[in-house]
Amino acid sequence: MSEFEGLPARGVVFWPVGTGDSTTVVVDDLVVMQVDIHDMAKADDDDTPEVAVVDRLVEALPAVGGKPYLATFVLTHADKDHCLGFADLLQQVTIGELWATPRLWREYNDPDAPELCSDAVAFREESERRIEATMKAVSAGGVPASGDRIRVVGYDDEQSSHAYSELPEEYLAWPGQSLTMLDGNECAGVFEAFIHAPFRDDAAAARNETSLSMQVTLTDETGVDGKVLLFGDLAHDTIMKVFDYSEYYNREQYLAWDLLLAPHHCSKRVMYKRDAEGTEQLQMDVLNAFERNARPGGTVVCSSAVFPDVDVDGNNPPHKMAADRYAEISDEVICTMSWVDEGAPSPVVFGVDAAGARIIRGDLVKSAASEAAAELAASAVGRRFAAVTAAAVAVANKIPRSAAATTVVAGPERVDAAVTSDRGGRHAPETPVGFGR
Amino acid sequence: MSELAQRQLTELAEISDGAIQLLGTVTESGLTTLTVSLDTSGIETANGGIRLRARERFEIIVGPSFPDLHPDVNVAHRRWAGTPHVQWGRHLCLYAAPSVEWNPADGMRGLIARLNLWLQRAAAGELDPAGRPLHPPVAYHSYKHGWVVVRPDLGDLVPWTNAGPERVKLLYAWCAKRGKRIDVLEWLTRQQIIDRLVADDLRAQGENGVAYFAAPLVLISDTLEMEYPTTAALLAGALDTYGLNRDELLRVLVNARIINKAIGVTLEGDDAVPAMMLLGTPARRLEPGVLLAHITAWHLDDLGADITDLLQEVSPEHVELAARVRKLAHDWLGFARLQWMVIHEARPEVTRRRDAGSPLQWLAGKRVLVLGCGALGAPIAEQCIRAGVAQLHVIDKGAVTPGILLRQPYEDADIGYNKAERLATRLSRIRHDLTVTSSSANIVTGTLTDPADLLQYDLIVDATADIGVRVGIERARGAIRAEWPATISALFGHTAQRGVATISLPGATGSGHDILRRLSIDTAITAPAGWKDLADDLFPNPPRTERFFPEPGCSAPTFTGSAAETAALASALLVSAVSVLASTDAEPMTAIGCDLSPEVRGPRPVRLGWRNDVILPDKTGNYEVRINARALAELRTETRRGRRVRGGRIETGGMLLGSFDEATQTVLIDTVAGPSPDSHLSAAYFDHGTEGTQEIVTSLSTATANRVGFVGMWHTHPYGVASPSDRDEEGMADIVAMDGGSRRALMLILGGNAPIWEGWLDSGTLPNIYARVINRNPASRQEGMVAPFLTSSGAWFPGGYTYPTGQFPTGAGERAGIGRDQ
Repeated sequence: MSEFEGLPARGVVFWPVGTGDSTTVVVDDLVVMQVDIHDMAKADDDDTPEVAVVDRLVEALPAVGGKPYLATFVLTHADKDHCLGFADLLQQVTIGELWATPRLWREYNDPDAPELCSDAVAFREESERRIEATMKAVSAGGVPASGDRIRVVGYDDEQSSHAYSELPEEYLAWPGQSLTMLDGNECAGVFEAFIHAPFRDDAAAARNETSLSMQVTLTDETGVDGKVLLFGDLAHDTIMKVFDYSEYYNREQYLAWDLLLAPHHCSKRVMYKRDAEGTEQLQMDVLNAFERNARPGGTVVCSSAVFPDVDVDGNNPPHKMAADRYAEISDEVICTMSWVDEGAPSPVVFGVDAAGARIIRGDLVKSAASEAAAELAASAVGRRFAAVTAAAVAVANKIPRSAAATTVVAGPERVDAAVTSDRGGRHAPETPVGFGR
Repeated sequence: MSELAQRQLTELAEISDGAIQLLGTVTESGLTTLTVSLDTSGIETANGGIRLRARERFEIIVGPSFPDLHPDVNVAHRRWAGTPHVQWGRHLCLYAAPSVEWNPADGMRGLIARLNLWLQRAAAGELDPAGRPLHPPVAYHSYKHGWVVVRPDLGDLVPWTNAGPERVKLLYAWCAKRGKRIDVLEWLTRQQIIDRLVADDLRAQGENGVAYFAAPLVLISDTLEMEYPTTAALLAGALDTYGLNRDELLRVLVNARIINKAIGVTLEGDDAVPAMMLLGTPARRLEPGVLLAHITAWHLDDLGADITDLLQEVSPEHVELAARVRKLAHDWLGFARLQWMVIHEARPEVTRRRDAGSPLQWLAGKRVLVLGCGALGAPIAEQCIRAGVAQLHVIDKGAVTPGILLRQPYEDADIGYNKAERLATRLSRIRHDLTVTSSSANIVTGTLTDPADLLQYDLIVDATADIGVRVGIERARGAIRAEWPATISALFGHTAQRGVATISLPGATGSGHDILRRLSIDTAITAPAGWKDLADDLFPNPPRTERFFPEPGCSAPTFTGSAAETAALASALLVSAVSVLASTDAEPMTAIGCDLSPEVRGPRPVRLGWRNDVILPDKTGNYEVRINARALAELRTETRRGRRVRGGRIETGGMLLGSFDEATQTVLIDTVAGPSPDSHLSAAYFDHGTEGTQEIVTSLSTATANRVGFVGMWHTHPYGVASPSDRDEEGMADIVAMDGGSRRALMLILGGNAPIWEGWLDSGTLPNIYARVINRNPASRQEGMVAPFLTSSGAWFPGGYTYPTGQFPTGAGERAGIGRDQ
């Protein structure tokens, strides 16, 4: 097992960045994909600690041509908690390729659309620059260079009226398509992204419902793979559409998951809908869909603040009632801000190697990370994943320690306590035991 | 009442801080499914228990009978399938015995608490704690496919008891078929079957349409999954992994077919025996570490039966045809649905008798004779059968009449037939292994005249409540007490709410007749605890004059009472009586009483016991003299008192009280009196007076309804010979006549040389005793008449029952040292 000591070379790191997404997919030493970013240093709400995320990420990235290099940046949708810090990142790093959704331009053309944050605007402007650069390269009979590349994922009925409408097909992607190329690097066999959403029909829906959704598969050289389902901020109906489509087309393999990133930061809107009376109605279909597609040991990660003790109507995610439902369909539910310790979170590290696809536990995360930081300095190979982990650990360590969580009482004791309290005693009054048969 | 369940659950959820959540409610065709989520975090899995998530979801199915019946609990997933107490892969078996474990008043609280506990135990792998019987796997069977009663133990026949390499074993069940019921009678090896076939020892047809046949039993050394397979393919696959491949499985079926054909079993048509296979796995356990076979039975579908038949028919010479049939058989194994028959276990090795701990277990294996088949005898006989007697013979000469049907276990169709025969016929149907025999003999004039036949029994129950029978038994057993079986005699009181039973052990002095007399006497004067009402009922004094005649003018009197009372009382008397037999400290003779009257108060009747009498022959040879233990003690007390107050050599004596039983030619001595005050006591002679004696006799006689009266006189010959002196002979005819006394009287003389006499006085060993029944002079002795040599005062002590007053007589001898006949 010695070769498996230490962190795997391939995996996904979920950064502890409050209620927001910052997911780094490490394919190999050179190829790193970032899905969304939430730089807490730039968050202006009081609940989010001011910890620099972009700076740490930049340090962990490989250097190409003397500049930190990120192969692909994927923006699931243009909400602040998914793109905060993008402008900063763009400035410091060469981003080989951007994955964008048509929604950006739809909103741009819609005067009634909710206002975009400055990072989202920066993302749109950079996208437009790249579309232009790509068109230029294509019309010149070439291909765009790394740093100018873009892929627009998803349909829009009004596609024709947008800047990207002229892009050749290889710069577009849509649901049902499998992608293995990242910034011109063919990663087939080790990486695959299967696009589930956005759907054409949802182009005009709320912004969350247009989130880019995909299944990321990382495969070890020994053939062991790990599958991560990313749904952005989708809610119940669109998620069900994803399941229904793929099951209808017998593509269950693209629904399987070892790790499910809870959509919309553990929102109850994934599995609850309000009925006419305003009562939350549980939607078993989506829970069953999650459950039947889970692989053994399936884990749900919630990229959110610590779950509240009680859900207050109208509060934003995370919702406890959603976390409870995930607990019923998975082996483990992990909240990025309370993993492993509610008082001092550390990154959620999902690794894939010959030993299997799994959440890396224990001291390995921190020790391997600190080791990696040293090795990285010496340009050691095969440690990119460790370096990203180290960066995320550094972010975690900057998060001010909160009060230690209250003692955890085991479930059976809580159930017993409720029964005892309701009954008014530890035991029900004994009934006489007699027989007659 | 699903609203109640829902409300209870909602209330529980409200105060649970999220530990219990009601997620949804769906009502469909009368059943309400409550989807509930429980916090199951922190439950560790151990010992192969189920794995629990941080929360688990359950479907609680509430029927319209909630809360009288407990809801069912299912899970939506099959993660726990194959675990003990998870049936159908999804149904949690929470209650082993809902009738005592489910508390309707606790409702959903109790259910959730139970589920919570179940989950923790299931996770800890403790649902089958060591030392408790394994939950037998559930084969989803149906009576439609027939039912199998399994009787013989498998014992060491199972392949898993020895460490040998044999993992699979094949046996044959020799079965009897009646309709859809199959009884396994014995387990045979293939060789045994063949041997019996050769010896022409196997019959295919029995009486009453019973068909005999062989069915294969495959024993495998591994347990199947908790859920038995539902298709032949799954079963064949499982058997394959346990060492019996498909060809072997087919051969097993074919071999059974061949055997049955050879025996001549009907294999086709409505009377055909089923094509079936039994399967045994080590899934039962009564004692820790000892795995016993759990047996299931598989009924082949018609096609399977045909195919195995074909396989068996087809000649190996037709290679191609044989191959085709074999392929057909394999195909059939591939798609056939399994039809599991219902199994009813009767193997001693996996079952326990429900009468464990009952005194009636004493009856198991005993040979029993029941005399009388009425309200008392018929229930007793039935209880004997159910208790497992090895032999039962019932005797009654009477016929079933219409009037008895309301309280005796007979039927309208039995009217006019002999009771014993009808009872025996009915009781013979209760057990497969015992036929009850009967006789309509007259017990007194027939049965008891040849007592040798009765000695084969372990127990005789006299349920005739007939004095003639009791006396007959008493007389018959008198000569052979030691060999006579334990005997119970029982009697109902006049309303069948109170009854008594007497129990005499082998060797006892007397049985029913004798013990009832003792009982009536002992309860007459001062009734022991609990016996007052019984004595008033059974031995009324004065005797009851109003009697119940069911058919006035044409019937014997009887008791009144219903079937409920007679069955209860007969059974209660039997239990008490047998518990005496089962005890280790019973006296040779015992009486027990049962008071089932609704008004009963105070203590229950205590068990009364009597030691054996001292039995002496009467010198005339006509009578047997019995001195009961109490009378013997009284004799000794008076003798010792005499030594103390009058000196060791002075004779003493007094009256013997009891009765002459001319039926059994017995003199019964129940109690004795000391010398009356006007008696004359010296070392040479004892002269009994009359003062107060009549009063004593009258009072006793009245109190005991004439059961105890004057029967004679006793006196002592300290240090002398226990036989009458000349003066005794002279005075014998003058023995005081008493009113109510018989013309015959018993003369009893106690004597013995120094060691014997002192042994009697000091340790209670028996002295020499002389007994003789004499004919009394009917004329009363004249008042004041005294033997001439006792006329001088000072030559004798006066009698009386206390210390004498005044001075010691000078001539009557000192405290010691006066010889007789000085």
